[in-house]
Amino acid sequence: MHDAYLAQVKHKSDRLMNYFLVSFFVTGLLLALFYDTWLVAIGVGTLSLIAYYSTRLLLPHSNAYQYMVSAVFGIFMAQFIYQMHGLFEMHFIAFIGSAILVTFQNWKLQIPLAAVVIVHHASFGYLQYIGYDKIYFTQLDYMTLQTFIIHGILATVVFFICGLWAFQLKKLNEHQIEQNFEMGRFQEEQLQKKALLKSNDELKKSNKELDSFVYSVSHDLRAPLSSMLGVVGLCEMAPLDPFMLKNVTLLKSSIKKLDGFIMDILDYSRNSRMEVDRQEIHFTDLLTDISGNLKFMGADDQRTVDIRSTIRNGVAFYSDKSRIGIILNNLISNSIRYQNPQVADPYVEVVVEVSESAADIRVRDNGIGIDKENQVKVFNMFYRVSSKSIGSGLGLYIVKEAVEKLHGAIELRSEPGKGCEFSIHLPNL
Amino acid sequence: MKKAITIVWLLVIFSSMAYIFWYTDWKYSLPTPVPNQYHPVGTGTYVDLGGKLPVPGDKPVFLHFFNPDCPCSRFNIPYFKSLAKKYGNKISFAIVVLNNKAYTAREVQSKFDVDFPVSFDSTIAAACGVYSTPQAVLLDATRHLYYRGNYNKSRYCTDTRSNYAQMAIDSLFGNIYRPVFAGLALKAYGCQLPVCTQK
Repeated sequence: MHDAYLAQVKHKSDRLMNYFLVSFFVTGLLLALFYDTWLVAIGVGTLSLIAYYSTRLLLPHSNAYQYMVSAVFGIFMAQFIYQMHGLFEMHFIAFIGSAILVTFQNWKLQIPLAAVVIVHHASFGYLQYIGYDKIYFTQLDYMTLQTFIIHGILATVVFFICGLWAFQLKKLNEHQIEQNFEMGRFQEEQLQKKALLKSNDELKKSNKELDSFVYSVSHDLRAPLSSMLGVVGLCEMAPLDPFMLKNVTLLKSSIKKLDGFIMDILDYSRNSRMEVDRQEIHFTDLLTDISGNLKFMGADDQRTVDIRSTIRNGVAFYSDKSRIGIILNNLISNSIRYQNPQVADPYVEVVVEVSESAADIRVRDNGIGIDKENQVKVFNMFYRVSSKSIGSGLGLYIVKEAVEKLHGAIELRSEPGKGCEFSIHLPNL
Repeated sequence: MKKAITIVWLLVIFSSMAYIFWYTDWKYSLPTPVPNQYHPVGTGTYVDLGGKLPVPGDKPVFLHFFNPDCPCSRFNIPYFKSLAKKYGNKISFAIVVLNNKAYTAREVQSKFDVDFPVSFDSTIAAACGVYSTPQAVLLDATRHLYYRGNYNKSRYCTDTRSNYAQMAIDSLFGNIYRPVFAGLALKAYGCQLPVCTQK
């Protein structure tokens, strides 16, 4: 941003110089009308402009041409004084030039102008003073060294002040840029805060909508299903012929499937939007609850799967109870669902090791297992290994999302026909 | 490499500038070439104005030879005005315009902001031995040539120590011996008559 500013200053100053230099040249022509000093006006004026523009052309990446402008102002002053044959007032051109140079915001540019003026005056004045009569410099009798020094000091004061203003201008603008930058950043922060507040409000609104959606789903969708199950149960109690019984059984399993699907969707929506709730986890109690819920799961002709658990907790473990419940519930229900019919005693074993920093949970079963190709895919949303799979395809997806929400990690090791082992690492919150 | 070229080029430019100044100054230092049929008129010669200028007969007369087209003449205007103001009560001033273009007396007088008599008769110049402008001619009360020459030692010089015309007036009234004017006072510079080819 600073470079862009410097380029702007340079560009603007260069354009101004074009106007000023042309004006100086034209002034020379106008002055030539007085005493017919055309050769000097056109000759020296043109040479000055050539000096400036050729320096700019030859050395475009340097600021040498700016120093040339400064020198050229001094030369124009000398030219005008000469054209008017010693008109003292033309010395003001030096001060005009000094003021013009402030636009470059570089105090060093005063130096060439001051040098031209002082060296020229000093050398010519001295030559006249020592009696060299070919140089006519001043008509004043009293041009003593003292007077000369006073003139020099006053001129230097003007150059110094212009240099000072150039320097101050530069500093001020640099400061201004910095402030603008800070102001811009501050404004951006304000805007971001505002946007954040707005999105917070919107989030609250959508959360409320989700709440009512979940409520609707859980009550309005599942309620008819549970009454359907009730009706089916009633039908089962009546004496039915085998054809009717088969159809009723199919109906019951479809309803249960649909209900399970709806519950999975509910779990997913709850997991994704609810905040992590920090509570002390009592794994034993949790597993007892889950076993209780899942005991009557599955097809009626399925064997009951033995749920074993080993909890090793030295320290208290804090995490989100409902999410851990969902994780364990889904994994265990999978193990039950996908038990190996060829194995005599199907089981699922849960081993929990709690330490100060984390809890490591292992859920191992001797079910049908998952082959390598599907191991990566089972965590995907709605992925089922085969169309004959009973579940919704959301179970492991929800497990993975829940684990990630708790900033943990999950790993799967499995061999088809041998079983599955899920290893979960959850930090102690 | 480019830097070296630039420096050399700038030196060429500055040398050219210095040359222009030097050359112009040299030209200014040259005297006006004396015309072919010039008749020198020595100091003390009686100059017969013959009614060409309505000046009172008892006072010395200061003739200012002037050409509006001559830059040296134009430069001289303020100085002549100050001279006229200073000595206007002691001597009569008159302006002789040496120029081919048609000016009116009124126009010339307004340039100097004076009401001196103005003549356009160039024979007065020949009678006084004047062949350039600006020139000062001082005739004493008896119309004898007291001084004919430059106002100052060079064209655009205003050095008070070489104000020859003023010195001549002062010596005329001081009744001291006429100062010996030489060289710079008498070797006329300025514009040739009637049209200036060398300024």
